[in-house]
Amino acid sequence: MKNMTYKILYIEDLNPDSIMQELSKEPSFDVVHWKPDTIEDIDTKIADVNAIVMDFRLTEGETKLDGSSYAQAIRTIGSDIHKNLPIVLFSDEDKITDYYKDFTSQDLFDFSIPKDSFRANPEKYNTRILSLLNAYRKIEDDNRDLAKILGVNDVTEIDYRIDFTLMKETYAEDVYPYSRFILQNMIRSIGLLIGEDILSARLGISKDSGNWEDLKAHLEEFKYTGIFSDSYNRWWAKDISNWFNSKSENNSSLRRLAASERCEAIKKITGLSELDPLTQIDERGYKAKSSKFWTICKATHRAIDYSDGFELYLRDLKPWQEPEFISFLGISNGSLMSSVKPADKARIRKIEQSLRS
Amino acid sequence: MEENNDIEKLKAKLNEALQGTEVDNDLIIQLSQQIASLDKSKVRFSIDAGVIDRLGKELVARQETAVSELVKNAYDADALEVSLTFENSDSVGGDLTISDDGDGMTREELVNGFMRISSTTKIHNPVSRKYKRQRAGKKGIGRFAVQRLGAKLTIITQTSNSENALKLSIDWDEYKKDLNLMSISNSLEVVPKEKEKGTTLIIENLRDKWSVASIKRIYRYVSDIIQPFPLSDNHKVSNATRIEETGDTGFKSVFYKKTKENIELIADNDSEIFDFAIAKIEGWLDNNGIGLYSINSEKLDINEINEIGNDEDDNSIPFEKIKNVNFIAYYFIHEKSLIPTLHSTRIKKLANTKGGIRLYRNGFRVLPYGEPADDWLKLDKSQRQRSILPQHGNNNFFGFVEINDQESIFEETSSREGLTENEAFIELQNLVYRMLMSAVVKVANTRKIKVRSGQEKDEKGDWVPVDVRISNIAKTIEELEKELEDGNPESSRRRRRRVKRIKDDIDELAELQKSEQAKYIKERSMLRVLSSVGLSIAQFIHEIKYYLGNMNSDVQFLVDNLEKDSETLLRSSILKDNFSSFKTYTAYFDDVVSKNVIRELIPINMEETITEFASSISSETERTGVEIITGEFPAYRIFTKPMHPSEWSSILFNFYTNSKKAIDRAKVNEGKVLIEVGEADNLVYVEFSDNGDGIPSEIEEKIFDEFFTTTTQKSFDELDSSSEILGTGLGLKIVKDIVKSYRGSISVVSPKEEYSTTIRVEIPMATEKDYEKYDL
Repeated sequence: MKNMTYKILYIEDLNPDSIMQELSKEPSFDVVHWKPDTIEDIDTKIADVNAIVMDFRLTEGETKLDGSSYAQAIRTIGSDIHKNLPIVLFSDEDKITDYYKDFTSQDLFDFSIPKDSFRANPEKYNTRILSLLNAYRKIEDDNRDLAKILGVNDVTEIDYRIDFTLMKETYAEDVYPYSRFILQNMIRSIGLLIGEDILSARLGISKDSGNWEDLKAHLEEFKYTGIFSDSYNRWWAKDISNWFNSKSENNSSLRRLAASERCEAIKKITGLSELDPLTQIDERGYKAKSSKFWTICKATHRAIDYSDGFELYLRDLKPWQEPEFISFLGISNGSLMSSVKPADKARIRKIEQSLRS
Repeated sequence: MEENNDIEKLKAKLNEALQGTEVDNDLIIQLSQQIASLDKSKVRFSIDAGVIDRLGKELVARQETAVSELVKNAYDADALEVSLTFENSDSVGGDLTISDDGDGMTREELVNGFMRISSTTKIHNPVSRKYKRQRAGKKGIGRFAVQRLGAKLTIITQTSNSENALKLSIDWDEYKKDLNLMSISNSLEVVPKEKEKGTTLIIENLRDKWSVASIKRIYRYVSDIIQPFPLSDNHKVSNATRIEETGDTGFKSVFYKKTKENIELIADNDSEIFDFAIAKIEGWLDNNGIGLYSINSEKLDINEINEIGNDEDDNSIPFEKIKNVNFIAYYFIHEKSLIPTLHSTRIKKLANTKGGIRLYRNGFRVLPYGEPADDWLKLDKSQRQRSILPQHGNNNFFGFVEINDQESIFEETSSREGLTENEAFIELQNLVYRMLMSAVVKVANTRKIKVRSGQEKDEKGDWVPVDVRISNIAKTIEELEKELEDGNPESSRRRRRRVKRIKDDIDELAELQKSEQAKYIKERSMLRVLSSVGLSIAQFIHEIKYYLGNMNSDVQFLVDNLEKDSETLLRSSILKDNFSSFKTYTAYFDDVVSKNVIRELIPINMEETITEFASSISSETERTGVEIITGEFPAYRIFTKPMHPSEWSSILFNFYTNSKKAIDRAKVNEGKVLIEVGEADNLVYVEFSDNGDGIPSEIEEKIFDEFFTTTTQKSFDELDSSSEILGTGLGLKIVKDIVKSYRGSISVVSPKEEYSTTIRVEIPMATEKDYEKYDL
């Protein structure tokens, strides 16, 4: 099974050679190109492939249909013939513009990759595509056993609403909504799982510390091992907190300690000496108030306490998800201000005024 | 043990020093400090002498700011005049003498004020002693300003009460690092007085060169505090009495440049303000009570004296109540064609705040006459009612009326706010108003005659503007209307003449219209060519984008997989470099094109814009070796008022292209571009500096104007040679047009340290309303 090859169909109306070369760097990919002429051919084209990678602006063919029409057709046909195909969108723009967002939000694509990003780092994105293929397979192979899919002993350990949702008919029919739900709502959001930056923030320890890798090894048992774990490094947030709570003197909790205190405690627990505490933002005349870091700034990825962050409203949160925050300095160079919650906007203006005077 | 020995030795030395016949205070301070430093149980702060240099550099970055601070200090000391003489300043190392007739400093003020860093005199006294001027100098900057300017300072200062003057000499080079600030002494001597009162600063060995342009710039920096009120030559009250007894009579600064050969006046109120007046009006009453007034205008070649009587229709009827009246006024017409753009904003601002006719009675200024809200001669009212068409509001004049009223014909009101409106006062108003109006009409007529005789062009070669002609026609119709009301049949011939004049005017207008239209058509076709070029670029960029990405990854593949040390690999690497700078340009255009899709105006976040710009050209700068440095941004966001996002791309890219050329020409090894952003006085500023070959000082005042004319003269016929489009001329014109359209300003300022050119752009900041409207 390990050495299985996947056949990837690359739908592109312009010269596909370079991108096909980059895709083919992944040994398990067998990439074929299709320059779409008419949408009628689509069922024969997808009959023997495992995944689709496609450009969005497919305007050269006679049909003048854009990528979403093709994706729609592939989903419909796939559903009819019980063939679950991951579809990855390659977009031309550097930033996914609203135009794209509208269509990706229709849940047609599993995810999208800007072409420039792909070219800059084909290995990373090839791994993502491979990881997506593996996820599809595992969901089918494990027969939608959520515990197995997420790599946990017992589903009751995680929020019951996830299991409830995934048992609904919409998710039971096809693989892609199921996979997509886990990717978007668990892997790529903060809450149950946290990435390395937030792990560092919560432990209060800098990733540049000499023993950081050793510390991660120490926490290996709390690593997420379910689908997509081959392309995303995630840890179970609750397990990390519980670990600290049970091992530290006085059973103190991470949330209540300053970074330096967390760091000292962790040095004792692990016996690792080369661990440096994170410090709070102090630049350009602005200083964050707290070092009780809990999350990271969406723009700068620096560790912040909620009290130094400003809440962003980027999408409706599921009950198990935590809101995302931006730091004061993250605001100064960027466009996320429009997503800041109104009360927090007023706080930002106040800080700005006080810094001016 | 050793330390004790040391202390003993030092104590002995100190004793010796104290008992010597000549006490060496420097040595005593030094020894005491050494002894104190060996004190094991107590420690003290000490200050390194290098702090002076550091503070000087940090507090006063720019040479002109430093000098303007010193001018402001003279103003704060209630000086009436300050003169600045730059000697041999064309290269570094010249001298500057600043001399004022202000209050001067007592020994106490010199020692505890000037020589005491961070003293609080100005905070404690926000207005000046005598004239209650709002102090203009920033607190504690003066001493650092002199240090910033030159290596040596001599202060000679005297007050009217002192018998002698004090002379303080400071050699800033002695304030080196690693010395204790306290241990450096400066010589203070008592010398004979050189004038009644005032302070002279002699700054030697100047650290910068001072061109005529940079000296003129100081005048503009200080123009806020200049009070352009001339003193009449034949005033009855001596200046000394006036200074003793009256209120503020004004403040002026005069700038000279001295070389071995000669001394040249660079800037004073005449050259920077009054020379732009269209006419000077002087009036007085003769012994018989008849008003006489002279109008002088070099621009219009008017030089005449006229009489005016108490009766509007009879010049021989004298004014009865008033005598001993003198008056002088400078008349300004705020029109583009009369005041150069470079000066117009400044003069207009000055006219709005300080314009009007002031009144002096027996040498005393009588308030509120001539203050901003006052309209004692009903000039503003008359302007609003359009009594006559030409401009004649308070802000069209700088002037004063002086009355010598020993017999108390005028009475001050009980509230001491102005004079009682008795017959004399009404006569005075009548006299001055009518003299002014006669002069205004004379000026207008002279100008109009020029317009009429007309096939003339102004100095730029443009036809006299259409609006002037239209108002001429309106004026003629108005006159005609009056004559129609008049039933006298004799005036019918005059009416016919007027009608003919209107016809002529209209014919000329039609001619003018044609020539203007031709110009517009030309300009429009040029714009059309440019916009189609723009469209093609947009399309091209869009089309090649996909291939660029692919080519890049192909080249990368080659570089990764070719054999090491092979010629092919070398060439592929070069190809990769060339390709990546090619990509930079397309990325830039792509950015502009995609931003152009956004049509609406939005407040621009400067940090975001500058950072994006710097990163978008980073690969290009890596290749060319020109380093882009962005100054530290403030932690808070800085927004301009709503603008089009692509406009900043144009501004920055234009500056960058110019800088790159300048750096090439200068053949410097490490090209540097510095972009700094900040806000001041509700303006967002961007300062763009490079270390290229600089802008010659002769043209720096004019470059933006000049480019403007160059481009209008060069027609679009020459557009096909690509250098014309890409040449600096059109580029800076576009930049200037953008900036101007937001009521911003753009100017060459003195370069930052280590740079040779600095261009400063100012754009109004986003307002509180903008913050709300755009949800910033």
